[in-house]
Amino acid sequence: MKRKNIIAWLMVVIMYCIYVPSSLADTMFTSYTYSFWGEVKEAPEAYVVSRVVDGKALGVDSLREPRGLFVKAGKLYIVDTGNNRILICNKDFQVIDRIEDVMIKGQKSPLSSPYDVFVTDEGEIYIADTGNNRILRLNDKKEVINVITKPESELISQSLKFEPLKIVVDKAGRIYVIARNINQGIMEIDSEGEFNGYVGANRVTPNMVDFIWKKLATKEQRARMELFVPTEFNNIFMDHKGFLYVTTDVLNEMELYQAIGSRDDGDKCTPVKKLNSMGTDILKRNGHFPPVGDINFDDRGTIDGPSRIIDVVVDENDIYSILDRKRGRIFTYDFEGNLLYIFGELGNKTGAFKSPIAIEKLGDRLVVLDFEANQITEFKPTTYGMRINEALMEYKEGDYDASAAKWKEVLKMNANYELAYVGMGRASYRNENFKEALKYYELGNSGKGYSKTFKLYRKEVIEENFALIMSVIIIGGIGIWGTYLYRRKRRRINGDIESA
Amino acid sequence: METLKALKYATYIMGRPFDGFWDLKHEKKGNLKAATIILIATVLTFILVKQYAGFLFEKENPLEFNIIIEACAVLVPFFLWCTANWCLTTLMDGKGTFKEIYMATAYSLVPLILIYLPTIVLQNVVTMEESVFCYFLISCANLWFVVLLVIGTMSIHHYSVGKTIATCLLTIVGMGIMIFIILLFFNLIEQMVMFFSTLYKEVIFRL
Repeated sequence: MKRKNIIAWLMVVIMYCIYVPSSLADTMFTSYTYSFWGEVKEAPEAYVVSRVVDGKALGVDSLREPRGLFVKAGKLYIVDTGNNRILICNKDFQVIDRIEDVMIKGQKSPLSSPYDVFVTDEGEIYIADTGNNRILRLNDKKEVINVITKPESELISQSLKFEPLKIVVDKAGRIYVIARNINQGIMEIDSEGEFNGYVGANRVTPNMVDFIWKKLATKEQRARMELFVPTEFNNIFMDHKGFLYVTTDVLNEMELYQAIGSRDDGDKCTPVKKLNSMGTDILKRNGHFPPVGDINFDDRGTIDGPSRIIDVVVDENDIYSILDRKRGRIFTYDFEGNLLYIFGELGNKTGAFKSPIAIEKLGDRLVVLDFEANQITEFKPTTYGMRINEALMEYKEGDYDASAAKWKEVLKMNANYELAYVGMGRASYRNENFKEALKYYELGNSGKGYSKTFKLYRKEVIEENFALIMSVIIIGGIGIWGTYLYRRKRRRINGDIESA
Repeated sequence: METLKALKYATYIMGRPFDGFWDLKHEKKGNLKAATIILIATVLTFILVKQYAGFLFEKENPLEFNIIIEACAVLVPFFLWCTANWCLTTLMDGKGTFKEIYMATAYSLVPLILIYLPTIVLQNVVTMEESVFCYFLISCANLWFVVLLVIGTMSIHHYSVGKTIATCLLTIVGMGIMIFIILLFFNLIEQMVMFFSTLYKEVIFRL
């Protein structure tokens, strides 16, 4: 009987010892978020595919290897690289204009594999005419104002061909260019075509091991070693305030793992940056994890490791979406760096990407250009996605209560949404309902908010119960003192001296 | 009653470790029961720290909290230390028996219990800026524990300071070796089981 008991208890113990692995993302959710602990949490779709547009739907022959998208004043510019043309559509995806060649000094000059286009507020069109090694500046009537070729500077190697890949232009007419085989940073060219210098070069940080290794290696070995080169940017975006957002996908994977593991909020290893005019990174990274795309990697065959960020788009509320080329996902972050929602996938079904290359925002919709499938996928926000965007907008405007109301609606649709709890907590904090705020901050895993609220809550509790707390302290003090006196007296009477 | 006295003696060791551990060995001031109670109390303390640490001090997902694992996190290193220390000191002519090593190690755990428990309360009433105090208290407890452990080893085995430190470092190496052997052993057993199970399956298929 007794042995049976022991066996039963042993089995209970063993049962508790069995480790149940937390479910990782091995089933594909198209939409999910990450919790504070880095777990994958299924989430409602924030954006859904509303339309897939190919060349035929646009009203032209099919696109060939398109590489760039641009949106200005409700017009969508598609850079159809393989067909050497730029298509201009209205917001219903009807081609209203196209640029295939330009007139330079009375002569017709066709485009040759253009990579990017930019349109200023005044309607001037800048084209990165990569195959012709030039940047074209057209006015709103498509007449050439200026042709910018390779700028003269000793900072640019003489033998290098000038192949602009991505361009943006600021309000002063300065052109920021990402060019092929230039990794010193973004080229800044003024409106006259003069080279101003490089901006925002990624910092190179050689580590100790590499340094020692280099000291030991022979000359030939050193030559064969990888050079310490700054990482090249692959895309650039200018937001409504004139800040540059740049992305890169050639980061060291180990460093990226470390940045995720340590929840690094620095700018050392990061696929997306926001640069000010000095070229310093001012992107806020106050989320649970740095904005790097996936945190947990569902490795499947050739697709493994961290996300490869290929493009970024920023809206007027500083909410930015980054496009992961590796898994075809779009990660959206708010201005504080909190992950909002994830959607999109690779695959062969309608609405899935083959090789996404560019993302833009057309009104409240998101459009993604597919380089391999030669089509554009349009996403429109669901109620869930819209509520999140609205809540953030109201928070940014300072209307915390309205924001909290929106967050409440979000929570009805997704009770795992930590950011919504933080939003609710913020409103409760504002309304001096500290106890409730603490509860929300705890649900939202916001240590900072919790700490700030707790300080005031503690003060409130102490002030309310001051008399009680003081009397407990006084009575307790007297009690302890009394016991001490009593024991000393008794000890003396007993004549018993303890060794302690 | 005797156990209670032995437990009380732990506080004396905390204050005067040299005298304390000497008397623990020679005057039989402590006993096994008390040492075991201290050990269990330590396990409980560590579980309480994990479970009731303030929200600002949570380092691991509370949903993955497992009492067995938390208990093992204390008990496994504890017994590994005792065993490795005993193995080494028998070779290096230490004067302590396993019982004495067990008792000395358990008695060194007392500052952990006495400081961690009030720290839990403190953790629930401080803000992020004041959390430094908690971390300070915890480091104090850890340091105190290490000092007691070293002095305990020294007194139990009648070692000199240098030899004690060498023994302690070697004990840690010994713990590593033991873990290695245990893992190897389990791995081999697993392989054997696998082998026989595949053999069995194979035979079943053929028949």
